[in-house]
Amino acid sequence: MSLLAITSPHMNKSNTRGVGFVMTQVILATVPGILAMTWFFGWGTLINIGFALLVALISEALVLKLRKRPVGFYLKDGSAIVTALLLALAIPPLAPWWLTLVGVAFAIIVAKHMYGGMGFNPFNPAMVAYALLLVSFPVDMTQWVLPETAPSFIGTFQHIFGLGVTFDGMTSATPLDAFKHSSNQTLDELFMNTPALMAETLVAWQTVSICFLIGGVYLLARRIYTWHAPVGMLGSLAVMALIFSLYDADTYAPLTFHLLTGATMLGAFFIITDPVTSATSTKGRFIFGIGVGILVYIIRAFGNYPDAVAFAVLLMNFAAPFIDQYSQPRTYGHRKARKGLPKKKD
Amino acid sequence: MSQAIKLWDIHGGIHPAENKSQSNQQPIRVLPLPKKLYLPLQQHIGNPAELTVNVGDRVLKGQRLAEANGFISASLHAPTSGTIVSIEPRQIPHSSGLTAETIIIETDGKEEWCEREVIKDYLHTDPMALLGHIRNHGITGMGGAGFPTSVKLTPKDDDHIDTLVINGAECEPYITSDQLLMRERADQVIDGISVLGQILKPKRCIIGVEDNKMDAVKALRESVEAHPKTLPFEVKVAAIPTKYPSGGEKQLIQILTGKEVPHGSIPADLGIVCQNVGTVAAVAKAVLEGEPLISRITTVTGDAVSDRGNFETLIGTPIQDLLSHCGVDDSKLFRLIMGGPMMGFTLHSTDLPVIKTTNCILAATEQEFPNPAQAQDCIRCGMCAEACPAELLPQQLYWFSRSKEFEKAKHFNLFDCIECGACSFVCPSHIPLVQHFRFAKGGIRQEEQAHIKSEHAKMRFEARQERLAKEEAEKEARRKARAEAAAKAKAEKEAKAKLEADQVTETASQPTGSSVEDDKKAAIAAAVARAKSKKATSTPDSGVDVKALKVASSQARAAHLKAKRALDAAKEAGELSAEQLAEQEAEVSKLQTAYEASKAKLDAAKNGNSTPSAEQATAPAVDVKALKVASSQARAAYLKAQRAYDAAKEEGSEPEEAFNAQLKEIESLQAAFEKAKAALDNAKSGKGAVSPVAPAAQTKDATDPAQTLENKYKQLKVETSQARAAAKQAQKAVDEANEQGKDSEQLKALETVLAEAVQSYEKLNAKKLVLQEKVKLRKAAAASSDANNAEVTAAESTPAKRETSKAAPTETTANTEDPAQKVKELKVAASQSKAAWRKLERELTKAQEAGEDTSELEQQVSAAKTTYEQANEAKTKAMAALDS
Repeated sequence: MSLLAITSPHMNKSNTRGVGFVMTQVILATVPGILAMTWFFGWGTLINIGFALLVALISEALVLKLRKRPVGFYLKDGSAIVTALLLALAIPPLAPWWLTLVGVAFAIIVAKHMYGGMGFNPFNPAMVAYALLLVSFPVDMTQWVLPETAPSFIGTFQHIFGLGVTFDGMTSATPLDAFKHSSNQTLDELFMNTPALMAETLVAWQTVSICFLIGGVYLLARRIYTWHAPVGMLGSLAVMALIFSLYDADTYAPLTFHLLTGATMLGAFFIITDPVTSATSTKGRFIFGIGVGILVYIIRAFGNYPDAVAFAVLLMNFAAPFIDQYSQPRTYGHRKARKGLPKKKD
Repeated sequence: MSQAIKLWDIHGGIHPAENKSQSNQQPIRVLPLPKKLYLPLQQHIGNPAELTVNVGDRVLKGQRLAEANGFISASLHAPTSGTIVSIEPRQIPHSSGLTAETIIIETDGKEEWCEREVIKDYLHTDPMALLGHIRNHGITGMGGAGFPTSVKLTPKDDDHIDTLVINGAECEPYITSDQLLMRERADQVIDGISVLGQILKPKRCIIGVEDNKMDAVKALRESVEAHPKTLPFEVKVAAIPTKYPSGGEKQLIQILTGKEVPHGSIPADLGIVCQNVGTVAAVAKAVLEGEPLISRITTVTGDAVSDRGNFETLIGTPIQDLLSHCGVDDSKLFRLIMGGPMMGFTLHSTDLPVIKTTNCILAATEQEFPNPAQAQDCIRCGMCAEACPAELLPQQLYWFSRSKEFEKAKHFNLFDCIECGACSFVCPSHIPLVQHFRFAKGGIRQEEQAHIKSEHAKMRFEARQERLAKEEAEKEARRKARAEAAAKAKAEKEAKAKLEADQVTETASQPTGSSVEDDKKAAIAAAVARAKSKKATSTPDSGVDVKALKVASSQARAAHLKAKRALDAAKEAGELSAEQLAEQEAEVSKLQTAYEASKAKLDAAKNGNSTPSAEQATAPAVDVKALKVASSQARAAYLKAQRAYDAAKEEGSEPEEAFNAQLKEIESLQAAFEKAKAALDNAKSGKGAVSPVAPAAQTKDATDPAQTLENKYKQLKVETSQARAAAKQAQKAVDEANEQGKDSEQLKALETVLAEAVQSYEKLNAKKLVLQEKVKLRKAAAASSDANNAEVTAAESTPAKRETSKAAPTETTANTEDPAQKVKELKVAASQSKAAWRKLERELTKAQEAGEDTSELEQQVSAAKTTYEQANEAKTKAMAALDS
């Protein structure tokens, strides 16, 4: 009989709620959104996801091997899968295969592992990759297939991988992009005339957004993360949109447009809730979310890019360590919360 | 009784599987008496108890084996009757595997009690007596760390206890000992509360029990209602929500009162005292039954034992006995934990005994508590922060602990961590967070220790530096004071000298009726004469200007005459005091000497340069060797001349004139030789002369002003000593007169004589000292010129003898006594005399201690002391002279 000397606690629930469990829940929560996207925008989303996962697993395994880390141990945590999944959901369904390849490989190899791998990367890998693709290939990244005009599975597959005849006409700008580049029309004219802003298209986008919202609520219910970051982001974005649309309803898009198009919901429940790159305390996460919401609105309304979640998240990633220092909770028995870092002695 | 008790919530907390039903189904059972009991002296926080028994003693049940050693300590009692077979250091149940002195009792099965002290009427007993009783009965906290209960019940004077909190939360999974106690022995708990109420006089008492133990809550409530008389304050039983770690002292206080124990404070500062139900029951047992803390209820549970339950166990029972009784399956036993699964610690062996704090023995299988999984990287999910009851950020603390950024860890309140394990429990990455925090805490404590040490060293170093600086400053101050004193003395001296000179000129001017200017002129002339004559004597160059010498001589003469006239006039006028007269006389004689010296010089210069050696010989401290050489040369020249003269005379060839010239030459040579010889003799005798007669004899020959001064000084010295002797004699006479009881008139006369004598002595002495300084200075000045002179002479005489003459300067220096050298010598002498004096004093003390006759020694001591004082005085003066 050999009795082990192990320090307390001797119990934990990580066997049932480990990192793998957390990642599985996140993946599960994206299912409604994936289904909605497939429904409206065709097979492209699923093909992209499949291809992205393949690239992600291969890149992850490769880098782990290079870094002499246990490959199986790290692949099991599912973080690479989540990164690839989120990126695949963010890029256009009919995006060419190399776009996915470049994005996912960059996310895993550079944005994640070059910064130290799981738990150490300061920037959200999916968003780093998205920003890279958007800056490098703006046309491919903003051409979105119109709802219910997508080709068949085979056709989509051929289109993505460039195996057959490519087809035009069915893609158009995203609603946000369309809105951005139509400043000489009134809002009513805009919503009447632009294909990307017609009722059908908007309904598709809104449905997808609501599906992501449902997935997020599920994760909240499973206590995978707290409400602070999503509520902060959606709240601040709503307040900004409300203020500006009330100020000038003809120039600024309405509240629902901001909340239910583009990557708002995906960002609020799947991107900024990434614990690694976000602030750490609940208070900090709330501040983080607010920051993202404000930045999203500012970039959308006044910036050059149609959608802004990626840039807003990256900018707030920069600020996260700073937020951490000023958002410490008040510890039991202390009158005030500590702020900043310890003062250097002499 | 209102049961609507307001409760507060704590931050975080977890809900681990309770696993209490395995052990709370059966009533408390009594374990059969073990054969041997192992009682460590250290079962509590604080100092180990102090043994009061020996090996081989037979002890009775309840007999004290060891007593509390210091305020924070607890005594230890025999759990049953038996014999002490050994007292040896053994491993104790502690997370660090420490060892402590352990008393081993072989039980005899008789259960023979010692005499018990019971306080039935505790409600009318002095609280201090009750406290003493609790202390004597070895009661320690039974829920956690084992803090001596009497200490906790002795709040600081300014802390008035308002609320007594009784902890029956038992939030740890698996453990049910408190639950069984409350369920079965609620009365005991309530009695204990009553006793504590008598000690602390609280306004209210709240018993906190988690709502998964409603049986215990019910039993307690019934008991409270049954004891209205003994509870003169409100007692409430609060069923609190089941959540780990609500049983932590701080957490329970927060739940029941809404107050947080401030960081760095204890509950008593809030007017709260918290005690575990087990401890309260033990207090009741001690007071009402006189039973010290010799047994406790221990839960035995875990999948490795088949018969799980709670046992009334004697302190010291080997865990193996407990496990065997419960049917342990050794092959399944994988992890043995004392305490609960959240905060308990693993035991390395089953040989360890049950101690006062052993509330649970958890014998777990591998399936139950498998080895911890490999930790993954922290993903900063924040679940730990959500679970933390202290509202810390464990994920941040983890980073800081891992990277040893202890300052930051401290800043993030690491030391508010109660190590409850909630963070580790929820961590999805299997990170043993608490372990990291323990590491960081240990590291910080170590650093602080090191810091304290280094601070101490720094303080010591700084103190030393300060002390040295102070000493240096004091030294410097002393040196300055000395220098100032010397400067002052010099200034006074100069002022006095000036005064003297003024007086001389004043007196001189009076009879002649000339103006002050004339006086000044005279003084100047005298000074010039002095300087000139000095120059003349000190530079016996072959080409001395005869004219200049003539002038100097006449000037000196004029000055001398003038001064003499003035003196005579003053004498006639009788205006001056004897002292002034003496000084003026001295001045006159000085001037005379100066004049004579310059005259002699002039003569010498007139006589020609053929006899520089003779001239040289007049220098008082001239090197003897050089003088010898000069003398022999002179003699050789003289003899040669004589021989030549004799030869010439015999031959008769030389004319008369030539003869005469030769004769003259011979005569002059002879004179020169004789002069040189005299100088040589003089030098020789001057060197050895100590008696005051020698300098007196020399005075006439001396032509050097320095010599004059020295002679004068010596004379003064003699006079001084004479005056001193006179004063002493007078004193003696007065003393004798006093003793003999002579009449007052005689005595008065004698006293007058004495006063006069003393006065004259003091005057002389003062003069002497002034002169002494002058002499020294002159000597110092003369030393260098003498050395030069000697060298010149030697060089002129014989080149072959250069070697010997070269050694001259050093010798000269030695002879003329360099002031610095003298000071050094004096210093040495002073310290030597001091040492001698001290030594004698020590001897005297010894002798006095030994009771010997000390009169002789005493005399010696006083003599030595006088010697030292004199030496010291001389030294100080010399130093002052050197400084000036």
